[in-house]
Amino acid sequence: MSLTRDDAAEALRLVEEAGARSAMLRRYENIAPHLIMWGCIYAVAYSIEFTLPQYGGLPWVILGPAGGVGGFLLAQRYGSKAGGGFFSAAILAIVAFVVASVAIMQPQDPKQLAAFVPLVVALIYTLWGLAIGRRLMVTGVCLGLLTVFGFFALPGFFLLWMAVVAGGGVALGGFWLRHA
Amino acid sequence: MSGSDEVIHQSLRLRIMATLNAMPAREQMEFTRLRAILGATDGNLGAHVATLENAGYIKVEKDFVAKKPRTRVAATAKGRKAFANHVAFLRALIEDPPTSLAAE
Repeated sequence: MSLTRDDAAEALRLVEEAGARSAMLRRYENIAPHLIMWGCIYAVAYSIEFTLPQYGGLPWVILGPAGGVGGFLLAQRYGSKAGGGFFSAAILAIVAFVVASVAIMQPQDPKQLAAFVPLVVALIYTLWGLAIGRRLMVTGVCLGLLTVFGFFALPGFFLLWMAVVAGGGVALGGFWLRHA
Repeated sequence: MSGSDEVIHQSLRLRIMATLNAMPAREQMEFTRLRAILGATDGNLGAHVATLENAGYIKVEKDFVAKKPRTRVAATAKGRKAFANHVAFLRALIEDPPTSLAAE
């Protein structure tokens, strides 16, 4: 069989398409468990904050680090061998950014902090999604829009809104990625 | 440079190899997942998977999970090497075509 340049070009196009799709789906499979876990953490932590306001940010003090450890384990389980190290460094950078931002801006209302962190997370999902795949980007955009909407439109129920819609939305985003 | 690999060059087999080659070594993909990615039918994909397996380019493992049969496939080292050689051949054909083709 003799191949022409057009045959070769078409074959290479198929190779690149299939390889890129395979790599994207693999990244989705690696990220999906993180989104599902964090969606559940958002739902539980915001629900406790809403129903038991006397405990303030205590749910986050407990569940935040637990999520960090869980994420590290998931990165090792589903990602590459270097995934755990990358994940740890990324989490530390994000935490440092949030702590520095809060220290500088000093929010007066706890809801401001409750909205700021998911907005940072939404930005990360969106930028990450722009790099690796549309579904993650859509998840980030939706999380950001839902957070802003709840903050301004439902100030009395913002934490409950975040528990149900943002927590549930992120978890659903994880399932959406898994079944891409 | 090696010549065209007739086992790999067929369109669906090429896409199977490209899909599996994009995964880390020794990592497997479920047959159903591969079928969904490639948009192929069970029978068609099964036949081409068998051809690649017979050539030693992929490894097929069958087991049961919760009493349900599961088939997983992975590219072998031989398959990855053959795929890389075939892609190199295709690239060379485009960049540096044989004289007879270049004159077309």
